Amino acid sequence: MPLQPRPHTLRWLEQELPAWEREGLLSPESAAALRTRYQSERGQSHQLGLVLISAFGACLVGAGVISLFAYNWDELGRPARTVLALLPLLITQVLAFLTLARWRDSAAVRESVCGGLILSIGAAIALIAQTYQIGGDFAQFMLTWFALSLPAVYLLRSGLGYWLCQIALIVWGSYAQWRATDMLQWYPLFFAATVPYYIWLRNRSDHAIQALFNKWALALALPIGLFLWLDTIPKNAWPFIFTAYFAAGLLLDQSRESLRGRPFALIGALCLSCLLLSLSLHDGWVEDAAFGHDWALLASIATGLVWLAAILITIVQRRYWLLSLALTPLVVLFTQLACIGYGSPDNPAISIRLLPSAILTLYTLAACIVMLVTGMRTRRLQVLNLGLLLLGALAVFKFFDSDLGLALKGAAFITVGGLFLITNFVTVRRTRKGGRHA
Amino acid sequence: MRKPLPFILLGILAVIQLAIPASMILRYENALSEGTPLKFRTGLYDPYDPFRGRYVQLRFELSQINSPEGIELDDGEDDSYYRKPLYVRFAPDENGFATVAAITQNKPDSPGPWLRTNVTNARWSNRHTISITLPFDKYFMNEEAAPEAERIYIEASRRTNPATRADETVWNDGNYALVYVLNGTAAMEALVVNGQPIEELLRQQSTEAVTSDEETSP
Repeated sequence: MPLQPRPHTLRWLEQELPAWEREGLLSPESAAALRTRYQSERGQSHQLGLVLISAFGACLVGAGVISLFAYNWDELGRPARTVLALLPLLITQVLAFLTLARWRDSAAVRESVCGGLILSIGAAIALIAQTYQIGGDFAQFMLTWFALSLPAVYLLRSGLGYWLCQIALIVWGSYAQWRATDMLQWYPLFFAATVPYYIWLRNRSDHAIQALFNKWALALALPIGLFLWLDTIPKNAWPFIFTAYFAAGLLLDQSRESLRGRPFALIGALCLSCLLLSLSLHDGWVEDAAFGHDWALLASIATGLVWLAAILITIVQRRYWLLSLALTPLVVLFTQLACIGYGSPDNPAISIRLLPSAILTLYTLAACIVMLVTGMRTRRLQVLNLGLLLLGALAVFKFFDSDLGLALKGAAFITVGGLFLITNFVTVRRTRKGGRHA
Repeated sequence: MRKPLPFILLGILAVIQLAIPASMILRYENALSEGTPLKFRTGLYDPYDPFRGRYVQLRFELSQINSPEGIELDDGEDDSYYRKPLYVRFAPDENGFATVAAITQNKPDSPGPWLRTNVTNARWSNRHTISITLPFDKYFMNEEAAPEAERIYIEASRRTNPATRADETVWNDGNYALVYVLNGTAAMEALVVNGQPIEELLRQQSTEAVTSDEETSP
C-alpha cells in the first residue's frame, strides 16, 4: 500500500508550491504534475468525514428499524408483519442497484446503502423469526446474516459493511464457542472469505483510506478468531501459537507507514508484551501436557512456519532490534520443552516450579535492554518508550508476584523510574542536537 | 457503458437475500397448515433478544425424557451424547398432548411429526433420563405484554413446595404451547395459559381493569 500523506501535509504542500514556482525551484509543469498527483488523495481525505457521517447515519436508521420491529406489533396480522419485514430489504436492494448504476464512485452513498442493506437483512430474518415464533439458534441467525451480507460488501465496496461482517463473524464465533457447536471448526473458512476483499482493496490507490480501515478490522478480528477457534485445543499450546502469531504480525507489518498504518505490528507488539508479562508470572503457565493433541500440533506448526519465515525476512532486511521481542516463541518453546523434559512446573519434588517464570522474566528483561539500547542509539522514541513501558510493567508485575521485601521492591521501582527519566532526557537531547546539526 | 457483471451478481444476491426469509415463511406456513397439532406442557420466564425483541422463554415437561433404546448412558463422565442431535417422533395422546413415540439417532425416513433436537444433558443421575432442547423454546410477545404474561403464568403455575419451601412449576393441562409439527419443522400457533391463548387472557384482563376503574371513579 502506498504511503499516505496526512491532510495537514497536503495543505502545507499546496501552500508551498506557488513559492517554489516563484523561486524557480520547480517548473510550472512539475508543480502542476505534483498538484495532480496529490489531488485525488486530498479529495479522499475530504471525503472521509462525509463517508463517516453517512455510514453512522445509515447505522442509526438501521438500528432504529430493528428496534421498531423488535417492539412486536402483534396487533398486525402475520401477512402484514411479513410484508413489513421484507419491505426495508426490498428498498435497500433497489438502492443498491441504483448505487451501482449511478453513484458507484460516491463512497458516502456506497457506505450508507451497504450499511442499510446489511441491517435490513438482519431485520428481515429477525422479524420473520419473531412472526413465526422461530426460537432457533442465535449462532445460526448470526451466521446466516454474515453469509448474506458479505457478498454485498464485495459488490458495493463498503468499509462499514466489512466491519459489520467481521463483527457478525466474531459474535457468531463467540456464541458458537459458548454453545460448543461443531460449526466453530469452520471459522477459518468463513474468515478466509473476507480476506480477498482486503487484498483487492490494498492494491488500489483510490481506496487507500478504506484499505487502512479494513486492515484494522482484519488485524483486530484475526487474533480474536484464532482465540475462539483454538478454544478446543489444550491451553498449554496457546503460549507458543499466540506468541508466534503476534511476533509474525510485528515482523511482517513493517513499512514506511506511520504506526497507525501498521495495525498488525502495533497489536503484535502490544499483545506480545502482554503475553510476555503474563507468562513471566508464576501462575501464567498451564501445567497439563501440550503437544500430544493433533490440532494443537497442526496449529503450532502452521503459526511456527509463518513466524520462521517472518524471522528470515527480518534478518534479510537487517531490522535486528525487532528480534528482541519476536524471539519470544522460541523462548516459550524452549521453556515448555524444559518443563516436559524435567517434569511438571508444579512438581515440588523436582523443584522447578519457578523455572518458566524465571526464564521468561530474564528474557523480558533482556528484550527491554535491547529495545532501550536500540532506541537510544537510533534516537527512536517509540522503541525506547516501548522498552521502558515493558520494563516498568515487568517491575509492577514482579512487585505483586514475588516475595521480595518492600525495601528491595522500593529500590527496584526507583531504579526503573530513574531509568525512564534519564533515557528519555538523553534521547530527546540527542534528537534535538541531531536536528540542529542537520 | 457500465459493466453488466456487478448488476447480475447483485441481482443473484438480492434473490438469495429474499429467498432465505421467504423459505422460512413457506416452511412454517406449510407446518401450520399440514402439520400435526400437539400440546406441550410449559413453564416460562421473560428475557429479551436485541434483534427479535421481548419474548417468554419456555420450559417443557417433555424436555426430560427417558433415554432411547440402544443409547447407553454410562458412568457419569461419558459425555459422548452431550450436544449430539437426536430425532424425536411425537404422537398426540387422547387430549392432544404430545408424547414421545420414538427416539432415533438417524433422521426418520417417513414424513410425520418428528423434530431434530440436541441432547443437553446425558449425565442425569439415574442414567435413564436425558435432557433435550426443543426448537420452539421462545414465544415472542409485545414489549409491554411479555412481563405481564410472565406474571399471569406464575400465578397460574407456580406453587411453594411445603417440604423444601422452594418455588416449583406445576405441570398442568391448562398451560401449554400449541405447536404444529411436520418433518422437522415446528411452528408455534399459540401459548395457552389457564386454557386461554395468552394474548386473549391479557386483553381480557386489560378490559376488566378498565371496567373496574370506570366503576370506582366518581
